[in-house]
Amino acid sequence: MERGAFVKRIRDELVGGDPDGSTCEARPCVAPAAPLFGRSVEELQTVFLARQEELGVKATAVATRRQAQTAVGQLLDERHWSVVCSPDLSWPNIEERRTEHTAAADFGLVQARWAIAESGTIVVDTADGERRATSLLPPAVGFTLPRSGLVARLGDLLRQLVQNRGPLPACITMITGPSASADIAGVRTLGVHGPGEVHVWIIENE
Amino acid sequence: MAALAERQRAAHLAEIEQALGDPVLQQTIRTRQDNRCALQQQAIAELPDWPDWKEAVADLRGHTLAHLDRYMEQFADNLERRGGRIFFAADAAEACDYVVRLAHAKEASLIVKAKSMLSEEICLNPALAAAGVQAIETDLGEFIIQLAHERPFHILGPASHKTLEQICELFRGLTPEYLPPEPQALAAFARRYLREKFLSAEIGITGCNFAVASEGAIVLVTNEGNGRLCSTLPPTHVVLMGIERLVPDLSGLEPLLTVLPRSANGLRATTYTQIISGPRRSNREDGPRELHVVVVDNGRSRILGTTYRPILHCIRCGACLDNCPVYRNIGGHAYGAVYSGPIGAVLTPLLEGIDSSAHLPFASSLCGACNDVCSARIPLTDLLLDLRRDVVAQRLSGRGWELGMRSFAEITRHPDLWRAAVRLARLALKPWVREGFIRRGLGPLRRWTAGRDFPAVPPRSFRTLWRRDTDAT
Repeated sequence: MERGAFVKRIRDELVGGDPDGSTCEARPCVAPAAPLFGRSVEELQTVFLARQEELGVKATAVATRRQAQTAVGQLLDERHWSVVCSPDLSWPNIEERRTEHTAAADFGLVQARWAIAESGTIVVDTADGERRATSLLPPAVGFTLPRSGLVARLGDLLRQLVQNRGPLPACITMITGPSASADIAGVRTLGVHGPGEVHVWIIENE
Repeated sequence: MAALAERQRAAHLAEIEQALGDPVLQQTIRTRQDNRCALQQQAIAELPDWPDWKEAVADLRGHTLAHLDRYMEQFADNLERRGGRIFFAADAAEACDYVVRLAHAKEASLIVKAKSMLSEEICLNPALAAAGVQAIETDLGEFIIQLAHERPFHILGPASHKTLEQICELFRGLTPEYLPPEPQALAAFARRYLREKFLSAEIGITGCNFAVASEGAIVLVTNEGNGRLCSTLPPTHVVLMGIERLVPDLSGLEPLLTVLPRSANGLRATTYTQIISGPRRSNREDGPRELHVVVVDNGRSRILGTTYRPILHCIRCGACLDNCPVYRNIGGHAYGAVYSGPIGAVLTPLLEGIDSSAHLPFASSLCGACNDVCSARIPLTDLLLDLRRDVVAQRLSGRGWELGMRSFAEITRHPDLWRAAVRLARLALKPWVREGFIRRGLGPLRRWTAGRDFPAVPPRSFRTLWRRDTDAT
């Protein structure tokens, strides 16, 4: 159906059913905001780490980026894993384990910019040049996250998206724990399509 | 019209009979309902201001629908500005036709699909199959029912009626390898089996939980990751969206994404929430090259102009199914429609026309549990009652039924007539009483007892007992 006719069909029904007509202005949505926890960065980190544990994510706080590098290198060595990551990432200690073949990689390494403490959600966006498949195809995935990127709740993230940028990037993905399903007999299974194992390193001095 | 209603009603009763007579199914429904309710209650208890969140959702949905024409225009402009394409489908046929033509244009032989109730509603898979295009469902639950050739049993857990053994049996048909009846092993098999499909499909189809007018963006809320795969790997991503999915701007996502995962799965957030704004940008390495959004009306705009508009507030959390005593007993298939439970009992007659689903408004005890848990505070039982009035007004309930109801109304208005009728019924119905109930009545009573057990008339009526007891004191 042609756009004009389609919208007109809607408009005609509204005039019939809505005494206010279409004169009312858009208004921002006001969400309730009873505080659930303190908003200091330490408290946000505590909540976030607790959520990761509940979700079955292995999350650790490290002081510096160098320590995160070491931790990732150790994990890859222990598991004999190949790793796929952004071409921009140049960590010498993972160089020899690197692969460009995302669908065959054991581990995807992603630099996240934000996270939501309340739900334990990592936020990845394509504006950072990160490939979408890195956090999706491998059976295990790891995120580094600057502590300064922690926000308390979803609303804080949405407000940041509105304030910080012009148009949205092509895809913002919010990731909360491992890929999960209860479709087989109501039993929680992990790694159905996305990664079943998730690691997070919070970098405190970043 | 009344004949169609009658046929549908008979099929509905037969399905109910079947569900009630299946002890395994009965147990499965109860367990799943109890588990889901427990998770939901736990998640809800964490938010001290839960009722306010639901109020915010209801308020937002009401506002958006009241100005849907404007938000639709805004959404279309912004989507196109970001490089997305939009198609407006007046009905199911137009929507299916667009997707089929697109599949042909892309020379697609395989389409991967994420869960979309709208695609079930418009019967997209049969349309694609008729055009020689294979569409494979990748949500684990949808994948299972596609293998079983069944309709969704629940709007969120389409295969929630299937036992482990039944699922194992279905999967064994796909592979010569041995599959143990163990959930994690079956999930791992599905991952391997479907991964190949994702990597080779030319088109990915998803639904749309919400669409943000100010950004021209699509919001997808999923748990398994198949929605992400469908919207990332194939070169073309098709989104099926009902007209009512819009929200004005990003701020609206706060109440929606706070309430939906808690009401749906008892989660603070679903595993994956994507905000998709156009196809991949030119300097990026992955993501679809084309994004097509098919906006589907299919009877929705007609509801807007009526007193049934609040049903379009629904955000498909499924909480009304999980808390419904009728669903608990008859399950999803007995509703005979794509949408089941209280939401289905209201939505189906409104979308498909009341003459083909006149029985559905009666598939409720009107207990109101659905109203209490509804994420968008839809007064479901009020709408069910209004629909019942419509059924009667349009004379779809059948001649015998109407006559019976009119006689009943007449009798209850005249005490002498009532007394006489009770006395007569006590004697006349006696031969049909089995264990205190009449299960197969005669004449006008037959319609009543087809769906209910009629209690035998007791030897002494309430009025007799009342008179005796008050006289004694």
